Amino acid sequence: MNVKMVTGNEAAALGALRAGCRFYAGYPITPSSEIMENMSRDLPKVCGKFIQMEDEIASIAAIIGASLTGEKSMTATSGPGFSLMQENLGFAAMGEIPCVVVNVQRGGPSTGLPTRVAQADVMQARWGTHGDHEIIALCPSSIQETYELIIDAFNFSEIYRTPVVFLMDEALAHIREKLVIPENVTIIERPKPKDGPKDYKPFDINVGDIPPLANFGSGYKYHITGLVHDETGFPTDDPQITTDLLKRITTKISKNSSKIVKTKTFMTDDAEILLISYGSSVRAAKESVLQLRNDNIKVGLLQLLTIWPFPSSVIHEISKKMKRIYLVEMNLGQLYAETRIVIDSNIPLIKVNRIDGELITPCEISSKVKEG
Amino acid sequence: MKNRYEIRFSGSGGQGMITAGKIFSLAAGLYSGKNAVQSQSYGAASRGGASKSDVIISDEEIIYPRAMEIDLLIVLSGEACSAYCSNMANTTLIVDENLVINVPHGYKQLIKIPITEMTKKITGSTMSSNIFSLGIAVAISNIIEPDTVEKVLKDKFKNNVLEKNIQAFNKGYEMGLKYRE
Repeated sequence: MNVKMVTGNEAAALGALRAGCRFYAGYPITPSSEIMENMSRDLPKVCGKFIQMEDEIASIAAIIGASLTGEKSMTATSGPGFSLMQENLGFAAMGEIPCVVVNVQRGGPSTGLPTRVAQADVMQARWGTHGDHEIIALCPSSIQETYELIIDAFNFSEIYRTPVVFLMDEALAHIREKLVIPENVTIIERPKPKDGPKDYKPFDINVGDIPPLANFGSGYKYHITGLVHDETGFPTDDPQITTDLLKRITTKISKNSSKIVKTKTFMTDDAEILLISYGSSVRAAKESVLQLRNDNIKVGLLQLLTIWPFPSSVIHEISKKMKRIYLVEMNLGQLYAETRIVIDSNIPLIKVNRIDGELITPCEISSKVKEG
Repeated sequence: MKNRYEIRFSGSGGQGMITAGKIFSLAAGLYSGKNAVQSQSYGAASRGGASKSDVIISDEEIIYPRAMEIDLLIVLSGEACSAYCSNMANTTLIVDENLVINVPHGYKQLIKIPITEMTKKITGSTMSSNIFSLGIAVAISNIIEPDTVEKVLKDKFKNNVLEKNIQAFNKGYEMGLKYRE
């Protein structure tokens, strides 16, 4: 058994390499810098490329370019850098270019609290870039989950030809705990086009909702733009083509949400009260479940590993048998509205939040639940 | 051992207390068959300012990764003492008696040891004070064997530095044994 004691940031880098990431471009920022540091050390050993860019705008531009040559590509940043990346995140969504963007969340807005924990970029991950689009965002709560889930992030980005946001947080990034490297993992490789360079169209829906992407530099010549484009990739403002394109790039994710949504439950079988949480808040929520169970309170936990697309059906289904639900987040309640609309209006949904840069504690959650 | 044992190494930035916590967690997690979580807290500055490293050791899964009730607290600076010494009814407190002047009340047990001074005497410099502290912690907590720490030290350091750290660790361990309950 291959066991390591690593931090969340180290696990993210190890998982990315295992998933086949061979290109990293980035600009260091606390609390994500160790991801970059690890990639700079380890990528050259597997014939990958590492570049320190001049800023975060250039970093995401570089990974988009590298991805178009067929390399699995990643960057990592924190809130301020993630803000700078939004424009090109939209470009990757519109151009349908696979890539993984890690955001290790810290206190905000602006430069906020560089060395402290927060989960306040959840909505930015969903709507930070403009225009109708879908996004996949994943959110681990342990070192083991970080390693395994970042492999899913790469797989989803290749399957759905889309950027994937990997939302970590400072607490998770900097704790060190056991990682058991799994012997077998599923790695998805990018499908190759059947057409030769002459007939290839990068957005040809006749071959499916998610047309295969050809590698630049392999003889294929095509056009990629952030403008609305037709099947050849060249710009158009045709109303029908516009409608079809936007519907396709959003439904390719929304209609597959059941395959993308990952959740875990803890002691929910007989639960009457439910905690919903994600990221490192899960650690406090899970401990709180044990505390409350000691007091014979029937409480359980639903952990969201996928935040976007939002796990609406899972939450709706599990909420039916609950008397009260608590949403535990380290922000002012960013997922409240999203959660409220998927559970019946007669079931109370109560916010449990912490925003001072400290990790939320089990006791805080337990006392909120005991308040009723 | 009790189900969950929590140790905090604290001092000023640059004294190496985060490294001490990290080494303890590696010895426990990699070489002692325990579960271990190590975390740290520091400000934006790389030198000075209070810093701490918390280590949680358990035979079971460690769910909440932050300290909840510290069993053993080692303090190498007055600043760290003001920042991290509170709620100590169940805590054994170890202070460097030359560096921490105002020792708080209300701890379970207080142990005063001239950690930096002794380290200097043994190794010729104060550099290994963190590893001396680590030796004390390993002895008093009585959760992991000293040879597991030696393995980590050998993974991490070389030559002269390794030699001095092993000297400091052994002396700290010997010192700690005197206070083991």
